Amino acid sequence: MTASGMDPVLARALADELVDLTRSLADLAYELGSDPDTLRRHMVSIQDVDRITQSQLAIADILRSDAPASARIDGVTLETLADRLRTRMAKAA
Amino acid sequence: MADVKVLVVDDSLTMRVLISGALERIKGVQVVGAADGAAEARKMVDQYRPEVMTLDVEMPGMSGLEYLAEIMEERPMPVIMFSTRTAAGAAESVEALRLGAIDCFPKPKVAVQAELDAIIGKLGKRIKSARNADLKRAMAGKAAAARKLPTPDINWNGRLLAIGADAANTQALFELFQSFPANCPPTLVVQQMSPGLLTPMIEQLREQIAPKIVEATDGMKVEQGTIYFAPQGETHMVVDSWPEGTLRLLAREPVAGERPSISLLFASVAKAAGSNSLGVLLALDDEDGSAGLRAMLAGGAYAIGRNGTDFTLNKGAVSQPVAGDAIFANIMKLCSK
Repeated sequence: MTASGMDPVLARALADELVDLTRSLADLAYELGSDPDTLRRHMVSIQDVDRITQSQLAIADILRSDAPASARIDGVTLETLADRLRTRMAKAA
Repeated sequence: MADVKVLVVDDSLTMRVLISGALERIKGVQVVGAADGAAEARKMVDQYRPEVMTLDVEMPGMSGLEYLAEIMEERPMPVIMFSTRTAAGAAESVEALRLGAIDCFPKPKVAVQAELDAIIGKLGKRIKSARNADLKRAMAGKAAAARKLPTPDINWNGRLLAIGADAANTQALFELFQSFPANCPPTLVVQQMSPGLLTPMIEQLREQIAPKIVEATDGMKVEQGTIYFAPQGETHMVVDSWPEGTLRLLAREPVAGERPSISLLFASVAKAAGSNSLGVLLALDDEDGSAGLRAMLAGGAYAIGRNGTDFTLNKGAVSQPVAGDAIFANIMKLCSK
């Protein structure tokens, strides 16, 4: 069991699932963005999907990691996500 | 000619969409896939066999530079890098070019179509000329870190050397200048590359070569043992006389879309030094440079130019093939007594 109480095998399975779902979401957005008119009209939405998929991949990395929680969050390169996670952790503590 | 197959690799979905969309609008270019990182790119390389790759320098996990090094070691292909416009980004871009990337474009400050439209013409030209890139399998391990040693001093014959290059020749220039003796012939270089990359490249070269290397300034005397790079963007570099020449930086309009212009440098060398000069045109895209090289030939100079993926040494009407790795030896022979 990890410090969070989750079975590490389950954590890795969830991480893999999250990566697969993220890739599907990114492929869908890529497909939509391939149409110049859709891209022009929905650029902001595609950028939002971009941010969501990058956050999901960072969360998958956290799930895969065996490091202590604070170290896992320090390893997140998306600063806003790292800050949010630290805030949530502090509230939950 | 069949379309050039391109694979786009970038961790940002937005950039993948924008770069792919921009490339799809270039006639003769086909985007065969878009990967979000090195792992997915490896699969797509096997699946789609792209001829050219665009690669983001900064990616989480395996960085673009690490993946580039892997590509150049295992399966060399023309790679065009995208990098942020920061000092760190510039240093990484120079490193990418040194590793064998054929060009490095700045990433748009804001991920919008208009920013990519500004570079699309040059990007398209670069992709289409990529087929002629001299790709060498990078050396692995310790051998990669080993630099070429400078050759012993030469007995210089007074000949002035002028070199025209582009970003794709960065690796070749590093190897060439690492071999130059400390008292090398005076060497004038115009290298076409993205803004902001010349100064960090000169700084890297300075630590690795025996001759002096400088970014030229107006009025600088041309002396043996020094390599002079034309500054980027605002001026052309020419030499006013030979021997005992002085460099002039001219704030004139771009020539063939380029400033500094290789052709303008070569033409000034032809006028000033005539047969007492050697011109070497390494650039993949010879739109800038070939006219100047012809002027040097007409003035009686020796000229080494590109012939597809090979090179030829020309003097008057005589022409002979030169292998890419024999250019250094030919330069030293032609500039020594």
